[in-house]
Amino acid sequence: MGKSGSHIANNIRKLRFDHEEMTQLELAEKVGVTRQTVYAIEKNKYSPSLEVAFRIAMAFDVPLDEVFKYKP
Amino acid sequence: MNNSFKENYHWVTLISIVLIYGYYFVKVLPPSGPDITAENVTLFAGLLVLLVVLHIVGAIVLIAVAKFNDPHPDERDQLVNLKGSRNASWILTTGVFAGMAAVLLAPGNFWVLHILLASLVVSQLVESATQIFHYRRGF
Repeated sequence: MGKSGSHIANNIRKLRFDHEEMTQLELAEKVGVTRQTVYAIEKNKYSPSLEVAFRIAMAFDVPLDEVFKYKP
Repeated sequence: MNNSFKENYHWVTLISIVLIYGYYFVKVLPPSGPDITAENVTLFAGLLVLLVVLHIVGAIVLIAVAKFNDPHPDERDQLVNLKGSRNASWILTTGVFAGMAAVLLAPGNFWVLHILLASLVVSQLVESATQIFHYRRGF
């Protein structure tokens, strides 16, 4: 549960595009969060819990570090 | 990004509280005596009913107009709620202490009751405003 401007970057927009342009709502339904939360994560306004981060990676069928990167 | 149902509902809460309680305090201040009057109680009860009706109508309109696609709060909603409640609790605590001071310092029950009511109203405003802030700006 981080803050905006955190050091965690993500590739969710690109991964959605690569997965037949999956919508935020479709991803939200797969992960079990609201579309607004997916939007906030994608825009780096909200850092999700570890569990949600893993669920996002599972939704794209990729390892966690392909979705999120820590940039110290 | 479209606002979520919850964010819009907090706007309804914020605006209705400002209108209803703002009207109430404008009508009862300054007090006519040290104690609350029957008119104060009647006005308060009527406005309380109106506030409930406004909330119900607001929720119905939001459901009808906006897409109600996020009925279940997720982890971000819960965090936003917690931050709102935490800020509101500070206001409420301060108001309780101010009310206790009024018991000792002010004659009658008018100021005690209205300081407590005002702290409740402001705490609700702060709770909604905090939640709107975090929904819009992230945290």
